[in-house]
Amino acid sequence: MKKYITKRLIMMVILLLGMTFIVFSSLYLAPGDPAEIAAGASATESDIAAMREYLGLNRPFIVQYGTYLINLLHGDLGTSFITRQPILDELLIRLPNTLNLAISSMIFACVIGIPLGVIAAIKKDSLLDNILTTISLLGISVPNFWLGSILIIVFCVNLRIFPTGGMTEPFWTAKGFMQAFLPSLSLGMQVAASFMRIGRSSMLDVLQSDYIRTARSKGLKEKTVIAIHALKNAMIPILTQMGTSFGGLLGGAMVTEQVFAINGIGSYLINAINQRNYAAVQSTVFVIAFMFVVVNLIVDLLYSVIDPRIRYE
Amino acid sequence: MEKVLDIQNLHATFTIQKKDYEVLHDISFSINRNETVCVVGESGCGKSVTTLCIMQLLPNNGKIQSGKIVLDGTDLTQVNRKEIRKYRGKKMGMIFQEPMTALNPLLTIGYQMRESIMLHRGLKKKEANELAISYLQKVGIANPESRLKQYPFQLSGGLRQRILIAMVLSVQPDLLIADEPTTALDVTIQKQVLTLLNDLKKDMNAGILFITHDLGVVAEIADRVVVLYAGRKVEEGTTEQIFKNPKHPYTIGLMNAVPNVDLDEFEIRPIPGTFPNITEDIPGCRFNPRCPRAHECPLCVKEAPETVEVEPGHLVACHLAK
Repeated sequence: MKKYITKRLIMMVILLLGMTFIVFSSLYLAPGDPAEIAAGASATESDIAAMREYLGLNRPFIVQYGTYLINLLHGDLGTSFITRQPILDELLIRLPNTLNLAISSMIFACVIGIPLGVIAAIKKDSLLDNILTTISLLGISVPNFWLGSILIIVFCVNLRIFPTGGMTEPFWTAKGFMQAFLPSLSLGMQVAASFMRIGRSSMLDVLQSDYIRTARSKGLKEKTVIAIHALKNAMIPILTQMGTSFGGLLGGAMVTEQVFAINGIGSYLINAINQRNYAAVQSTVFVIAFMFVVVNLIVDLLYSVIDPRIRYE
Repeated sequence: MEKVLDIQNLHATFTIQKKDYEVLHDISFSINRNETVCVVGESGCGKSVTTLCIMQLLPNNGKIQSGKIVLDGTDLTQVNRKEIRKYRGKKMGMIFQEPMTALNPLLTIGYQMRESIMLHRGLKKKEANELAISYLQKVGIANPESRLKQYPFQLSGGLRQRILIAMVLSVQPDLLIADEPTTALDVTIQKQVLTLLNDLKKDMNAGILFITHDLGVVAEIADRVVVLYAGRKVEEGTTEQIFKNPKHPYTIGLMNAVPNVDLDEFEIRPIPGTFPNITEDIPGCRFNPRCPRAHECPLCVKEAPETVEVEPGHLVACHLAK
């Protein structure tokens, strides 16, 4: 078990290191001069040169990358080229909103997707199963920005049930719930649909296994067979999907935050890209990747909670 | 003698691509208390389907069309889906073929054993644990206390099979169904499991339905033998009758196919031809295309043979047996 965790932690560090390199070099190679943008529209040639010097952009690539990594290790995510504020501070203001959105979407996806997948599997080939499978196909195909816009038009503009945008409170408060409802619905729909599909197929697999037949032959109630013997086994692939879906949620949050006017790191990242704010882009991508990796580490640890074969390795 | 199980004229079908195919045709046999009945035949002859009919665990496309399965006086074919689970485990316990996959990988041995004990014998967790330990000892497992805390993946196939046997026995069913319980085990463990089942049958006064295709195992454990071929019962009798005086050409073929190492010329004499697919329609006796004596009687290819009693308790379904 210790070995398992150590292995995961080492992999996590390597993964993050590789990720910083890719992001850093891709932005380094991207066209457009950030010093020009940072210096402003009226800057002269010498102003831009001074700015380049000031931002350290004239130094060799490897020195820039090294400096970036050392700063990162000290928890310094750099300074925004545009606002001259520490990027960490700018992100910390926005991070709670993004997490609020991602977590509420994940909860929505779990609460809707997993039970429906299980029901579809139990009622395999029935009318209900066909309806649910069709809905999940729709859910997985609908782009979240389109769904978000439609939801706003129907529920905010016409029916006036939910606020059109903004996010000021966490989703578990009454006001926060109303604010998070539509964004989570539009962002979580694809994930819910994917949980349903994976849940259905893994449940079907499990229900055909020998140990389920054994459980039935013992005279257990069908409910017990499903809840205790089948569901736990079926959760393993769903758990994997949760980890990868979290990345999708963070990516999708960029679009959803724009649609619902939420001040999160997704909209921050889009602005940073438009403004060629290199340092901000690097750091935001790093933070997103970091969260993704941490979530997947948690998923890996959860495997060991569910599956003794990993726990006793 | 008291009958534990009495199967009468059982017909079962499987639906494949919207067409029904008969997998069991007019199967009848019974099992008394303290008796082991072996059902033998090639793969696909309907052995396992028979057990699944009894347990009412047929896959969704399988259906019992007619006949009775009487367990301790109750016809199981008349019991509804919800009620049937009161018979499963408690009145009839089943040991499956594959010990490696028959236990839930994510639950401890203790949990899986206690579950049936608590359900059927109404015991509390602590008492159920003690009972589980005593049954693990009965099946010859050392350190039963520590085994209860382990997971299936930590145990060998032989141990798992014994645990499954202990699990089934701990509820004290009247009928024990064992579907090739020794096939996946190596020979030494096989012998231990067979001895164990023989001892336990006497202890518990239960009936055992033992499915196998291994005639060596049959000789070791059976009191009576039922031979199935392509979903039909072709011969039934005591173990002695079947081994010493087999009547049906198929049974004789099975006996001949067992290599005898005592003979000078050591050879295997297989039954010619291949086993029919259930989708195949064979007129007359289902065995006639492979039967070495089918040419002796014109009826073989025309009419299905009736079952006749050639000596007390010895039944044969063959035109030539009369």
